[in-house]
Amino acid sequence: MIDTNCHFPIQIELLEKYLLRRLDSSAEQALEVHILDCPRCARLLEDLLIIRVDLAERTEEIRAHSLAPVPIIERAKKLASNLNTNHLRSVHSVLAITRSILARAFSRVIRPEHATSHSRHLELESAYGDLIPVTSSASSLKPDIKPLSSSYYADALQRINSALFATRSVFARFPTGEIQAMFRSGRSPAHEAYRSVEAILRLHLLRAREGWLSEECASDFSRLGKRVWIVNAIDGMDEFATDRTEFCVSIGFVENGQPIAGGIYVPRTNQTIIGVIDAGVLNNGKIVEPSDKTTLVNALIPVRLDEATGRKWQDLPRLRQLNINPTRCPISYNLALVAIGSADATLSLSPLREWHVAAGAALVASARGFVTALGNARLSFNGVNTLISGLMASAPGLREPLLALMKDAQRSLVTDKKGGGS
Amino acid sequence: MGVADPEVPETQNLVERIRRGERSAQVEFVNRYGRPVQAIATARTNDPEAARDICQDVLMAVLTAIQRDQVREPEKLGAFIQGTTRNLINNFLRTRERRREVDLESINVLGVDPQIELEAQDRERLLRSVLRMFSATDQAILLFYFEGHTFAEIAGKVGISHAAIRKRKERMMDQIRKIIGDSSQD
Repeated sequence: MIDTNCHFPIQIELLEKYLLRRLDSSAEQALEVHILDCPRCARLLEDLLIIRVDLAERTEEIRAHSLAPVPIIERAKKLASNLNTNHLRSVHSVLAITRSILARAFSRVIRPEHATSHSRHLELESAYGDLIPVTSSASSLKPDIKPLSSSYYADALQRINSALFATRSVFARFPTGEIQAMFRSGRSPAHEAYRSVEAILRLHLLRAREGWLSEECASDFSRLGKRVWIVNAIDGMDEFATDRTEFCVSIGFVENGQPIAGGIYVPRTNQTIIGVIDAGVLNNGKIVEPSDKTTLVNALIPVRLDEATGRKWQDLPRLRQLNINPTRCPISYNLALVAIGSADATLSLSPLREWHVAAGAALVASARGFVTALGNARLSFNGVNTLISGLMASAPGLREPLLALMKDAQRSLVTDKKGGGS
Repeated sequence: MGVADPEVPETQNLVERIRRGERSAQVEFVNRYGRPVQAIATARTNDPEAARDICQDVLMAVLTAIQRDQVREPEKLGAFIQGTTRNLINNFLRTRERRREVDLESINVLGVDPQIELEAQDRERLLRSVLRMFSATDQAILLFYFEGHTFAEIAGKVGISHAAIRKRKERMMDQIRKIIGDSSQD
């Protein structure tokens, strides 16, 4: 039974919209009924699926061939040959032009208002290269730029940036205010989005001989002993499902149990925070540093709402001295706020899974901040048991005050318990 | 969209033959609806393996419903299959569990004609070859498009104007159609 009224351009446009989930629910259903009765449209849908799969399988190859930037030395040579003088054609002149292009690029890349020291600049240039955009908007973070540095961590950071950028397409399909409607129409947006984001992250991040740890595959122990990506495709699933803004995509890269690089993307505010331990942290393309606070008085301390109202906090009255800001944001985002200097410290007294922590811990470590498990035990990732008993993190200057307060709080708890017992 | 009404007598006839227990009718049913159901399931779940399981479950459920005389409007068989498909896909997305309840006998019934499978494989090979004929930039345009980027976003990534991106994409789809043959010619 062939529907002879299906004209190709209209037919293909509709099917593409269907495949990209850009039709409303009723249109989708009508089209599905039609597909079942029209072999021509069914075959065309199969063709589009083949095209999508084939392209997805060759993503890296296509990106490498189509989007690689013209090497800077080639640009300089081209410029020199265009000038058409013997002098400029000489190798020395080519190098001189290259140097000037590089200098100009870096003078734009590292802006004076963000400068801290010359050595810091060099460090950042070496690690980030072209990743540092000229403008500060998140949309200008192009994922396809090749890093100047050949270091392994810079490559990891580049992958994190690409992966976070690529997840935007998924969240575009789940706009604010429509999640509840999707639930009502029988869809499962939370699971759909989670699966899509995790697939994209795998595609962009994972390479041979690297492990993967997420909520979905915590029991896959092939990751042990490898460099591992610890990801949470949607950190704050309840917030996503209830149409709130406080959720993020978080990625941590761990080597020998220690967080090396991390990234967080907050879809609803389009905020991207990435960092690597040997260089620093970028917030939407701007170089940032943690706060310089040295006392906990009036320090800004975001804490998960369920934590702040939980029993553990009530049991530690000393902690009530702190200027706590209850928030629905996931712990990884609170850690990221510490890394970028928007918060001074954060705490969690409840057990957490590694995928809730790795990205944020990497960012705090990258910002030279202080992050540790409760009891000042070293945070270690990629273990058989993925549970972390709790953590605290702060700007570097708050390390000692925070440790002293926690020690004091725990001591008072022990004393109170002993007193209660007697 | 030029949505045609299903050819009522043919569908009714098929339902009636399945109800009477004609094995050839079951085979015809599977050959006709198997691949479209699988394509819909793949499009919705993005998981070809799960889509195969869902397809088996849908075909079994619909065949059973016909045999039990639960399809009240045989002329709207397409809508019945679509509803069943959607329900099973939603169940899968909710639970993310794949049901594997197909017994051995049903596997024999639900296997799509090998000739149809071979033709589909040939078509897939041809399509993949055609894609490789396009320039790297054109392939990137298609890749980003199917990743869900807008034309404006793709324009920013590949450095070509918005209008040119749209035109190149349309031209590519048209070329694909010409090379692999418009299925309306069938």
